[in-house]
This record gives sequence, C-alpha cells and structure tokens, in this order.
Amino acid sequence: MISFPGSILTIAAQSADKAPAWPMPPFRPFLDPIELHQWWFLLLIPMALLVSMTYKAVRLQTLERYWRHVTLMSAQIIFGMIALGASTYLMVFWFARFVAERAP
Amino acid sequence: MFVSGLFIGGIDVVDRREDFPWFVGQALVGPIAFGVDWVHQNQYKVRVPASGLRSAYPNEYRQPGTGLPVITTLDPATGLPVARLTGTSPVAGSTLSPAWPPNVKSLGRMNELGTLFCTIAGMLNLICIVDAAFSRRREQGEPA
Repeated sequence: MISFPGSILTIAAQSADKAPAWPMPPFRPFLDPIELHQWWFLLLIPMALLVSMTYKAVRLQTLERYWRHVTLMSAQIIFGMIALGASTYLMVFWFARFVAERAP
Repeated sequence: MFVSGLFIGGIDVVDRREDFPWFVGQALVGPIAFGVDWVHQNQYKVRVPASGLRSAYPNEYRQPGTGLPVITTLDPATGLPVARLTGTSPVAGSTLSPAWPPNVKSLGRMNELGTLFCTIAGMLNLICIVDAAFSRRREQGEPA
C-alpha cells in the first residue's frame, strides 16, 4: 500500500496501531461480515455462478443442459469482468498517461 | 443469492434507513428483505434517545428490552468486555460477560459486496417479473 506522510489516512493508520485492541466477538454467521477483505475479488466467482443459475433457470426452455449453460455463462461473466478490469487499467495507467505526457 | 449477501456482509447490508437506495433493489426480493430489515432495525440496532437508531459500536452492548446502548469495559482478568445492566428490569444492576455488540457493522469491501449480492438478488427477481409479464413465446430451438 502506498503511504503519503502526513496524509489523513496515514495518521489514521498510525493512530489505529497505537490504540489498544478491542476484542472482537467470535464470528456469528449472518450477523457479522466475513473476513475476506484481502481476497474480495474471489467473490466474483460465486456471484457469477449464482446470477447464471438464476438467469438460466428462468430463460431455458428445458433443463437438459442446464449446468452446461450455467458453466458457460459463469465463465463468460468472469472473463468479461477480467477483460473489463484489464482494459480499465490500460486506459487509466497507460493510455491516459501517454496522452497527458504529450499534451501541450 | 440474498442469503449469500447476508453471509458475506452480515445483517448490516440490509438497512432501509441508512442505505435506502440499495434497499429499493433489495426489496424486490420480497417479504424476506422487509423481514430482515425489521429484525435489523428493532432487534440489533441500539436506541439512542438523541439521535434514534444506530448500529452498536464495538464497545457497546444492547440492553435487552429497552435497546439502549451500554458501554462495556474490559475485564482485566479475562480480557473480555463486561456490561453492567441498568434500568428497571429484573436484571438491572447485574453484570454480563462477555457482552458483545449485537452485530458487527460491516465496512469496506465486505459491505459493498454483501449489499451488491442482496441487490442483485432483487434485480434478478425483477428480471423474472418482467419475463413473466411481457414474455413472448420463444421459437423452438432459439437460444435463451
């Protein structure tokens, strides 16, 4: 993580380090959030799967190839999101910088 | 999908008062969304006389019955929070340990994704409603 000396985020982080730790309750499902902050992007997989399951359950005329369609649509969503993320990264960190450096 | 959202972000992701625009989408799930919101507002939030309902802080315990917040202190022996109950109830004056807050407020990505899961569940229900209301008969063999 990039830290900027004197910024409010850095000061807050330093204050949090100095503060005494308050005990947290044991995990209670459906009441407390899960601890997946570092791996939040993995939740794209169940999201794509659940959306595909619901959508295909409504739209397919027969359920003969249901799981095949669900798998295909889930893969399309996941790879589509990865492609969107990569294109946004290229746009912001490469193309925008490229244009800004050549601006008069 | 709605249950997955609750599992990810906890009950805090369904909140009619604090996240009303998101709750509009979640309400499309049906009565379960209103039920979860009612339970969240009336059974898990603390009742502050000056400002109304809010989520309990990590160092607060929700007093049963009144819903008033009770500031907890750490027991030096066990390191667990202890609450001294007040009021006129039969348990008033007694201490409770461990006195955890009723729920942990979800923050950051977990709050965003839990809210998103629950709202997408409502949006998928909307697709079903639109599909049932305005569907045209599909030709045999036409892809879904």
